[in-house]
Order: sequence, then C-alpha cells, then structure tokens
Amino acid sequence: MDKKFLYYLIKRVLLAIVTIFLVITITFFFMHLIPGDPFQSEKAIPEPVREALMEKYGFNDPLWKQYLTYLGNAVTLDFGMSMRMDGREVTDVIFEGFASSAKIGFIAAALALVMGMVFGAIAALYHNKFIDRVIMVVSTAFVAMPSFIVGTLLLWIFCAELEWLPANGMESGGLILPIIALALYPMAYTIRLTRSSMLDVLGQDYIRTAKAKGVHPSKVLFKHALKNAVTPVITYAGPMIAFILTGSLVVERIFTVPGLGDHFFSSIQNRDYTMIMGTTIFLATIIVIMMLISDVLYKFVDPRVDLS
Amino acid sequence: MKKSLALILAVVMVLSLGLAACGGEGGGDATYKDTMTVSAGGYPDTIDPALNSAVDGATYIIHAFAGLTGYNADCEIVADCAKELPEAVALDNGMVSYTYELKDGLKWSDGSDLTAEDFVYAWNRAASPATAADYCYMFELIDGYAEMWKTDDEGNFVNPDAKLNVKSVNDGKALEVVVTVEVPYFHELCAFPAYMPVKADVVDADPEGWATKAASYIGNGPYKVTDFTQAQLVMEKNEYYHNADAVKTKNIIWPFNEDDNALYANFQSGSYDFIDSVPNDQIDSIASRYADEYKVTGQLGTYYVSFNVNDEALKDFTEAERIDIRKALGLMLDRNYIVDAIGQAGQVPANTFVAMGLTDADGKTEFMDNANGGNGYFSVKEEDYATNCQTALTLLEGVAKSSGKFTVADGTVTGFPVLTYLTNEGTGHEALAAYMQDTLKGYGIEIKIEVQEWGTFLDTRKAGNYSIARNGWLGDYNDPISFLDMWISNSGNNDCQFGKGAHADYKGYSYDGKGDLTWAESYDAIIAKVKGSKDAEERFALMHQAEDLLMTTGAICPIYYYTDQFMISQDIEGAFASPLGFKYFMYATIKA
Repeated sequence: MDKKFLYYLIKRVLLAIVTIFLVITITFFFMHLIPGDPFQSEKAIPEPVREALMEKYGFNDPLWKQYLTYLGNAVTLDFGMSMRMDGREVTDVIFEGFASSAKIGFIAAALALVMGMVFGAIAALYHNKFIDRVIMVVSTAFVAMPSFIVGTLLLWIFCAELEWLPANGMESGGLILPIIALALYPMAYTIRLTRSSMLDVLGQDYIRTAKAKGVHPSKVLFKHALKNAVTPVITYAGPMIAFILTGSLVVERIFTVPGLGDHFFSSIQNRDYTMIMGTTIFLATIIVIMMLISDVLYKFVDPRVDLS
Repeated sequence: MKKSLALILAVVMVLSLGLAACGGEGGGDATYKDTMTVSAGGYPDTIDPALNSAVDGATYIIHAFAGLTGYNADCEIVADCAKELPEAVALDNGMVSYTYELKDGLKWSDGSDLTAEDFVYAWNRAASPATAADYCYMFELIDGYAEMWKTDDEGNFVNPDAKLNVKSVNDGKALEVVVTVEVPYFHELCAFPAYMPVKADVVDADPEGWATKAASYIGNGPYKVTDFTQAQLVMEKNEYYHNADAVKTKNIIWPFNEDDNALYANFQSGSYDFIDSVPNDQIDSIASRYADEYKVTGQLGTYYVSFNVNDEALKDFTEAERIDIRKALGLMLDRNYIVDAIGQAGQVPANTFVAMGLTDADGKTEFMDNANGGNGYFSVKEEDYATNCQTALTLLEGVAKSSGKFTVADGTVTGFPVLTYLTNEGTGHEALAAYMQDTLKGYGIEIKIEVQEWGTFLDTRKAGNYSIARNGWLGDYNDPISFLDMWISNSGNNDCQFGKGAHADYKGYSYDGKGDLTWAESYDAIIAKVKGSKDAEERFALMHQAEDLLMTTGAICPIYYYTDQFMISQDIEGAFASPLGFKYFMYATIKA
C-alpha cells in the first residue's frame, strides 16, 4: 500500500465521520420539527403518565441539551432504548433486523450484479438484434415497476395461485421470492448500465485493434471490454448494496421477513426518536462505507483514476 | 338489494357470527395436529402485561398469563386463578371489598409457587406512576390509587411510595381488594391483561427487558413462551397451568405480520390457520370465496366524526346556531350507504355514541337500545334518510334566518362558510371524507379535505386545530363509562374541546333541574356522580343522562359501530373472540 493511498484512506474516513455527524445533527433537529411525540395514540394516555414519560426520556430539557446528550451517548455507541418497543435497545433491534435483511440482501445484490452484467454484456454484443430487444423490454419493465407491484404479483402467482412457494419468509424456501423481488430492480438497472457502457467501449479503437489482432471474441468481451465498462456499475453498486442490505419495507412486509426495512418506516410513524436516529445513522454508515469501497475499487479497475 | 334489507342482514350476520365465534366447540373423533399457526398482528410494542395497551399484545398475554378471572367460550366471566367469583362486602367507610380465594397449588411456568403476593406486586406495579403505563387508569377504582397519583402544584408526585389497598390474606391463599365504589364490571377488570400477576424476582432482575426475552418471560397461563424474536412468538403448553388438562394443542406459533395481502396469501396457502385482518378491497370476493372461514363479530367501538366546539370557521355564529349546524351536517350523512359501500365489513349504522355490545343496568338489554328513551338520537333506518335530510335543511333554515350569514332556498344552501374535514391516511377514511364532501356539495355546502400523516393528525386533532375530524373509540371494558368519561373538560381524549377555551364559559346546559350551566358544571358533574354512585340503577340512569347531554351538543356525530373481522381455518375448533377483540386459542384444537 503506497503512502498516497494511505493518506487518501485517512482523508476519506475523516470525511465519513463528518458526514455521519451532519446526518445525526440534521436528522435530530428535523425529527423534532415534525408535530407529535412517541407517546401519542388514538387513545390519549393520562396526562400525569405522559408527564412521567416526558421526564423519563429527558424531553423536558431544552432541545440543544437533548442533542448534546444524544451526541455524547452516540460517541460511546450508546444509542439508547426504543421509545415505543418497551425494554428493547435500539442496537439490538437494528442488529437483529439487519441479520435477516442482510442475509437476503446479500444474495439479491450478488444476483443482481452478476446477472445484470452478464445480460447487459449480451445485449450490447447483440446490439439491435432480437435478443437485445427482449432483454431491453424486460429490463425496462422491471425498472419501471415499483417493488410493491412486483412483490404482490410474485406473491399472488407463486404462493396464492400456483402454491409453489411459501408466502412466509420463515418457512423453508420462503426466502426465494423476497430475494427475487429485491433483485429484479437493481438487476434491470445494472443491465441497462452495462449495456450502454459496453456499447460505448465496444466502439473504441483498442477493441478494434484487439479484434484485428485475432484475439478470441470472448476474451475481447470479458478482458478488454467488460473491465472498462464496469466503472458506472461500480458507482451504482455502492449505494445499491447499502440500501438492499438494510432491507426493504415493502418486500419484507409482503413476504414476512423480520428485517430492518420496517423499522425505517414505523419508527418515523411512531415518532420513536431513538429508533429514527439509530436506523438513520446505521444506514448512513453503511452507505459511507460502501461508497468508500467502490471508490477504492475504481482504482483497481482503472489505474488511471487518481485517488488524491 | 335494498339497503334496509342489507342492514338487517348485516345485523343478523354480526350477531350470528358473533355467537358462533364465542360459542366454539371442541371434540370429535378426528386426529389433531399439535401445532397451530395463528397471526394476531405485527411485532408487538410490548408483551409486558402492565405496559401493553394493544389488542394483539393482549391476545399474547392472555395465553401466557391467567388472571383471577377469565372468559369461557361463551364470553362469560368465570373464575380462573380464583376458586369462584366473590360477592362484594360493604365496608363501614362506604367502600366495598372483594376477597378472591385462590385455587390450590397455583404455579408459575418455571414450577415455583404463585401466591396472592404476586397479584399484589403486579397490581401495584401496573398502577404506579413509576411504571407510567398507558392503562394505569384501569386501577383507578381501587382504594389507594388516588393517593398514588396525587401531585403538588408543580406536578410532582406527593406519595411516590403509596400502595393500592390490596393485600394477600390467609397465608397467600387469598387476595383482598378494597374498591371505592361497587361496580358491576370489577370481575371483568380482573380478566384484563393489566391485572395479570407477574413474577416479582424476574421483573425486578430486569425491569425494562424481562418481557422481551423468552427465558425471563415467566407466566402462569395455559402456554409458556419458548421463543420470542422479531419474526415470531412461539408458545408451548404450560404443564404447570392449573387447568392444563383443558389445553389440547401443544404449540402455538404467532408469526408477526401486518400486511393484509401477505396475511391473506399465507392463509390461502395454508401457512397460517388464522389471520386477524383481511385486505379491505377484497372483502367481497373473500366473503364469497371463504364464506365459512371469513367471520365478522361485534366489537365495543364507535367510528364517528367529531366537531370542534371552538371552531374558528364558525365563530360568527352563536353556540345555539352552531349546535344546529353540526346536527344538520350529521343528519345529511347516509350511514347505510357508508357501511355498505365504504365500510363493507358488516359495520352497523350508529345513532348513539356508546357502542353496540355494552349492557345496561339490567345486565341484559343493550345500553344503546335504551338511549334517548329507546329511540337513539336520530333514525338510521334507510327509509328515514330523506326525512333526516329534510330535518337538516329545516335546522339550517333556522340558522340562516337568525344569523343572516347564509341563505337556504329550494334545498340549496348559499354562502355557507367553507369547513375543513381532517382525516388521517387510509383508504376507508379518505373514501368517507370524499363521500361527505360529495354529499354536502349536493346541498351547496363546501367541505375541504385535509389528509394528514398519522402522528401529525393525532397531534392536530388533540390540540383542537380543526373544524371537523375523523374519530374512533374502542371501549376498554363492558361499561358505558368507558365511552363517557373521555368527554370531561380535562380529559386527554376530549378532541371536541368541550369546556375548553371559549366553550368553558358557554352556559347552555342543564342538569339536575338547573339550567344555564357550563360544561364543567353539567357534564363533568354528572360523570363525577357516576363514578361516586353506589347504586347500579342510578349509575346507569346518570350515564344515559350524560350521553343525552353529550348528544345535545351535536359535536359527536356517530357513523357506525365497529366490527372485528378475521379468517379462521375450518380445522380449528374451540377458538373464540371477546368483544374487546382479544382472541382465545388456549382451548382450541386443530384437525390434522
């Protein structure tokens, strides 16, 4: 590892810490701007109970003081207790959910990238031929369809009508459909990215030179072309993997996967402040890490990239 | 189908299925499975009996714990941990005491002995300010509760160590509790999750987390928890339960799932044997495709529309005029159409605020059937809708004449102020809003719809920053006070803002032969008297008076009585539902 690279890494890590600090600050104050609090429901709780809870969670302190307390605890990795789910530590809830989400997310992301690049390359290779058209139509459809439609369709076809697969993520084989539902969109997107960037690369002089020198077509495609065409895919893959690993509200609800996705949504709806902060910080951290990894990957794929 | 016929059918369906759901039978010669998979809802906020205030949480708790009393398959209160239901004994100070003799040999699911001390501990814990439970007020009848919650001028608790007047007697074999007033529903309260005993040493060892882990979740009910994750709750028959012989199915798995479509797909594929909600937009097809599995039962609740009595948009009118305006707008809604076309789940059109299913003083007739001298507060018969609309127009004509602010001619209102209807997101709620807008527009009255996200909506409505709002209430127990005490001036659920702001000075109410009273002098006074009343007849008469007074304001506009819908596999026998929506599977069997 050269010195320049080490210097670059340190700079990026420091930048990441600043980013997460900004995310904490902005989320904390914006979150308190929304009307409501964690202790409300259709049936209002008695006023003295409410007061007792406000005191317990320090809501009677001025906001800046609550912010500093939170920041102080967050530095020591203490993210507090959930305000809605009694007796549960935010970190426990997040890690338990993340374990489920990451399991299917990892497979889905790998599936999306591999299949996406393969089909993208094939489409580029057979540019404007029938197979290219088919791949493009299908991938356009999957890019355009929101996950709740894809998920519900899969559920309806394979679970309710054909009864081939269980609708419940807890049963054996139950994770197949959520993985497919999660993978379809990023796969379709990767196909389109790979195809257009491949088309670009395939038109370059050095490809023609390689072909003219009699290099085997598959070697031209995978060694010379795909390696250079992969840069935009890497850019996309970083945040995509981060989002897919942290779970999808829709897919997890539809297929009963006890993942993290639901907590992003329900914590906001419940004004579960500690949970909102926890999930946001967690997502931000994963995104920052994935971005860092993809930036470093550029360097390996394309030595011309100057990291400094 | 004629709507009146539809209404009758709806009522019959609700009642007949309600009975079917309550009166399940077991037995038969078939072979049985040892596991049933039933879904009661999503991942629960809590399953701590003291802290829980949700219906799904209550269902889990009643399987893992047993109170002094419980429900049988006919939805009647019977003794559970107690040997029998004790009679109230009058005390010299005007209070009454109940002494519940405990059954012999009661044990916790870890095999240790359970005594009356455990109830004393649990009740004090659930009621105390230190626990700050949503349902602490379920203990307000017990002597000592008021002391416990007494605060000084700065809002600090004066007696943080005060205890309820409940004690273990006869060497832990009986529980004696002193209740400030004899009420008919005290035995019923004892079957409520908050009244379940908890084991002091496990709770004290980890007060925040004991109810989040299977290992420390020790109960005394028909089942014990063996696994609790974000995915599911797994229960196994508790051999130490005093009535373990009656528990036939060895395991119950409760998967956490709150997506209606996913629930339905799981039910169709046979993964789940029971689901507690169904996709609203598919009710028609579900009801025909699964006629035997789809059930609708009554529930103690009312869906209604609340008017803000301090509404800025109507500030140019006198309160008497506003009352007529509110009543008129309420009468213009066709409740039969709403339940048929929007609700679609067998809901029953409502003309009272206290819901269907609450009994009156005689313990037999329905409180709502006797409301307003037995007539309800307006007619919800299909054939009377036209008359209702006519009455509404007459009321508006009167206001138009006295105020001069708008005119009514040929059934059309001109120049009426634009009012805003506040609702939260949700297809049913928004469809009702659109129906209301459309219907009132037919009379020339314009309503704007404001849809807010749930948390914001609750905040706005509670603060009284609205004109008209969607509202709903589910009772906590079978007594009308559970619907009526929420409207006293300082109640946290007083969304209509009675007795607050300008309305605090309005003297237009009468009670006890006196007129020109404020809300505090009339309504608050009636409720206080109900709570202090020792005579059942008088109590119920007062509660009818309270509802009469409430309905004279026109600010409560009942739409329909809630129903509870679920789907249950035909293989399950012996399961039942209570009017509070709790589901009981402990005595159920499932055919292989």
